[in-house]
Amino acid sequence: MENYQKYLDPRTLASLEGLDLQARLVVEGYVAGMHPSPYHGFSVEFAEHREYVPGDDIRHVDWKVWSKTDKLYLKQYEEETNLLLYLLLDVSESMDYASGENVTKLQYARFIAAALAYMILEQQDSVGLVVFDDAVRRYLKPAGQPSQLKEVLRVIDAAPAREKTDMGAVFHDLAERFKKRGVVVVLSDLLDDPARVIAGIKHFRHRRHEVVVFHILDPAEVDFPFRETTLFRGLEGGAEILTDPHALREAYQDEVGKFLREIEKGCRMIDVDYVPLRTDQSLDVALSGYLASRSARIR
Amino acid sequence: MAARLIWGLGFANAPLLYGLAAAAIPIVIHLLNRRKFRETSWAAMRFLLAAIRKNQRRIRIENWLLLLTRTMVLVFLGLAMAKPFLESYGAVLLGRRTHRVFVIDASMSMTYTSADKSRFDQAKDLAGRLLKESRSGDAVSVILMGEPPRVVIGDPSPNLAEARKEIEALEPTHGRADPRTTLEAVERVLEASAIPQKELVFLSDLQSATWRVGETGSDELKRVISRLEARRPRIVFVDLGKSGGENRALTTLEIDAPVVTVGMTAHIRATVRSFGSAQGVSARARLSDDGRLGPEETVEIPPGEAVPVVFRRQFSTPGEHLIEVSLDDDPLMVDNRRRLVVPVRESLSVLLVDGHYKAEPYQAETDYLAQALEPSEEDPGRPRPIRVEVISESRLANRDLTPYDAVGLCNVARFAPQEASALDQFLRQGGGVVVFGGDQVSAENYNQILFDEGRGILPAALGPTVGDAAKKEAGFLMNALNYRHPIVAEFGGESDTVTAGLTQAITWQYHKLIPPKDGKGTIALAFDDGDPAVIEAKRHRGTVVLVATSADIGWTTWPIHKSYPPIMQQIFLRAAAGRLEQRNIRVGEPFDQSFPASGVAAPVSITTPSGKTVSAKLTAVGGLGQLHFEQTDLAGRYEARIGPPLSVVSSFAANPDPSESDPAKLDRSGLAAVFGTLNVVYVTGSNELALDPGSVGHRGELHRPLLEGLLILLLLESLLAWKFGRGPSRARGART
Repeated sequence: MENYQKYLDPRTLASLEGLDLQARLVVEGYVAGMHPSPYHGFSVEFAEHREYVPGDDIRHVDWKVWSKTDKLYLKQYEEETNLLLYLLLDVSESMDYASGENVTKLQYARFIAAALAYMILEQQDSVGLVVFDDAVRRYLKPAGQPSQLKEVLRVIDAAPAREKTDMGAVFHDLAERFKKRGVVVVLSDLLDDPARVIAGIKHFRHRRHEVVVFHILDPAEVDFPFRETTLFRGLEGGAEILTDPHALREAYQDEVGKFLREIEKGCRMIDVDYVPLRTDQSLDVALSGYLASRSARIR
Repeated sequence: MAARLIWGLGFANAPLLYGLAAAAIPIVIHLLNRRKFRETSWAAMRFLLAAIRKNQRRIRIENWLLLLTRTMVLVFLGLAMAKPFLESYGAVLLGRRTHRVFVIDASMSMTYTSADKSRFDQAKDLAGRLLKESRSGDAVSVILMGEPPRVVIGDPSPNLAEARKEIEALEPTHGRADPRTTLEAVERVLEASAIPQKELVFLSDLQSATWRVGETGSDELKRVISRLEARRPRIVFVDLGKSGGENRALTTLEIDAPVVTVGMTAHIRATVRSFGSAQGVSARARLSDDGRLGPEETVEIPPGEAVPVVFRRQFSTPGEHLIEVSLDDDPLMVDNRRRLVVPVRESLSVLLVDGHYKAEPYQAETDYLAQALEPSEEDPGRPRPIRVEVISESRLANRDLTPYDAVGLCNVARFAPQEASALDQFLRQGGGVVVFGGDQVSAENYNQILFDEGRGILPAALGPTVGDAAKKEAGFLMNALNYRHPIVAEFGGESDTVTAGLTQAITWQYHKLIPPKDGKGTIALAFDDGDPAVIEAKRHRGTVVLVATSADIGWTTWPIHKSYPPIMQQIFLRAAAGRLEQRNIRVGEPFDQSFPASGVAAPVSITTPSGKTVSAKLTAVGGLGQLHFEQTDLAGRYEARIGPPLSVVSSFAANPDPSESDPAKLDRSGLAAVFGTLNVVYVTGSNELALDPGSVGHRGELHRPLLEGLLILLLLESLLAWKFGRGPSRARGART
């Protein structure tokens, strides 16, 4: 039996071709490592979807499932299970950064987005996709058909990193577009004005969306490990800076820490799930983060 | 080692200054690193910009500090390796050459040793140190302060290394030092110097005996000092002495016999003196004879006083004996022993010249005298200290006097100039001449040939005779003048019956002796009318004794009195004492000894107490072979080997001047009194000199403080690198 868990390493995963395969491997790897059953614990609503046993009230049987699977499941929370997931993928140029052997932040975000799309569509729910930088570049409306996965993966795979980020404006725009309430998953490095980012997310909350923010950063962006004199060429058209990074490390880390704390605090204030990620981390961290947040919401 | 001067700063290892270029290394590394950098795309520019904005100034300051520290580390290292010295250190003017004259006191007191180091060695060490620290371009002279002073390096020598060697080789003398002649030597050295800036460095124990000059000497010294003042030298006195010092010394060593003969028992008298105020000082004096230990005696010496120690010694063999008396060691060792070379004669040889020679017993002029000097009735086995030979006056002219120790001239009528000259030559050799009066004496001839208005050998002119021996009407008794004179001192304190043998002798007639006004003779006996009876005077190395009356009973009854033989023996022994005296000198005095004329030009090899051998030659002086030796600056025995044709060995001893044993010293005010208006810098010993390095102009060694600074900089660099979080090779600036 193939060891799927190795595909949770983004670098290993990146060596494979095809985002659909990558997505499936992530999910399989995650499930294989964490759960005896592929879909147990996948979501709270499915955990309640237990098989019918004698004595259960047959009014709660989900006949829809029975019609597809020929098995009896209790149908107590039908409304809750119609999950609508909006994947918001940041493809601004800053997402194209990778240090050392790591994958780019965009690549990492793609893996997560694909895995989530795969997972959600596998359970008959709907997934929508937004690719943005300083504006919305592509928007796939949510759909639950199996063909949606292919479309989603195609768009994710094709999205090039370009331009600057303007999350505030994009989020406001999207909040107005998403008519149906769902779960908004943001995949971004959030390298923008924190206040504008939070304001944008807040708009989703105002529209009663649930929001999960996957804050993806490269390890070098957090640790700032450079020692030699370095010319930093700003992505997104920023300035060039020649400096001694070693002398600046402490100050830089202070700034990053302050930014992260501000984002995290902002998310907490508006009841948004905040999942900080580093591109050298295993992808199951992201999936666990998502599922943990979903679990907490359902309860 | 080449020293180079740059802006008043000297460098002992100037070529290593090129190492200063290494100071550019951190700057070059810094600049190269500015050109050599890695590039990276960067997303999180906002944080980087914020960090730079807030910390740019601090980082720049830190970088400059580190760069400066690292540069200074290499600068300090390069400078320290070049061994820099500051030429302007001290009180002399910057950039001007200095002629530094070291005057090193070499008197005996400088041999005082404490902590295994004599004051003279301390002086040499200090001079060496000051020389080592002298600035390049300075010139040095060295004068050894002795008696006389010795100019070791006269012309200003820029070769400091050679001067150090010269100073290293210096040895102290056991003699005195003369400030006046030393300052005159200094004056001559300064006069010959073309260097305008001059500095005198005196290294002395400032012993009072050396520096406290007498009234007349003081005037002379003041004149020298005022002449020195005109040359405007800077004067530094380094006082190596210690006030309140104690010392114990042998200050005299004498033998009571003027001439020593075999079998004679002589008293050897030493004086032990305690200088200082210490109570209960005892001293053990030991006598040795030619190295054989003799008796010893311990005496208690009251503070500041002298105690005599007397040893009886009988000499059984003829020849030169070295008598030495020594004390136990103390810090000043040279004065703990004194030596005496005693030539012991088989017997004294006396030639009596008879002016009234007759064959019958006791009819000749010299019969009583010969009997007194060489008594015939004595035991033939007993040693005879004096052997007498009598000749008539006519044979005097042809007689070689050299073999004799003394000559007695008894009633000799007249002297030819050649005879007078021969007698004068005899006196030069240390011989003694005793002249008696008598009826044949031509006063006119004596006064013309022998007295010669005070220039001749006689200590007094002969006046008219007093009294009449033919009539014997009025006689004159002897006045012993309280027995003060050594000739009659033996009678002092004796009973009247004994002294009557002298005082009751009647003299019927005598020559009135008229000493010149500035006469140097001493009256040993007088007549009761006040006229001198016996006058003793030194002439050259010898002694002349003039007796106013006759040697026989023609004019006086003295020859038949019991006092006559001992006093005559004493007179002749003292007259011949020049033979003995010339063997013992004070350190620093020249030694002269006469030898027969046949020895002129004979080679002489003199071995000094230090074992050094000095060659010389006998020179012709007044028809004699004269040994003249001046290098007597050490105490001890000197042995002169006279080569053929004489082929003899002669010794003499030099003893230190007792004044050098006195530890009393001048202090700052005492020194100021000597030097009057002349401004003198006074420092005590090497410690104060080290504390006050500016007292003597010298270069300031800088490599030690530089190395200390280097150490501090290395520590600072590590601290800053740690504090700023920089690695040892990362000093770079930030640029946006």
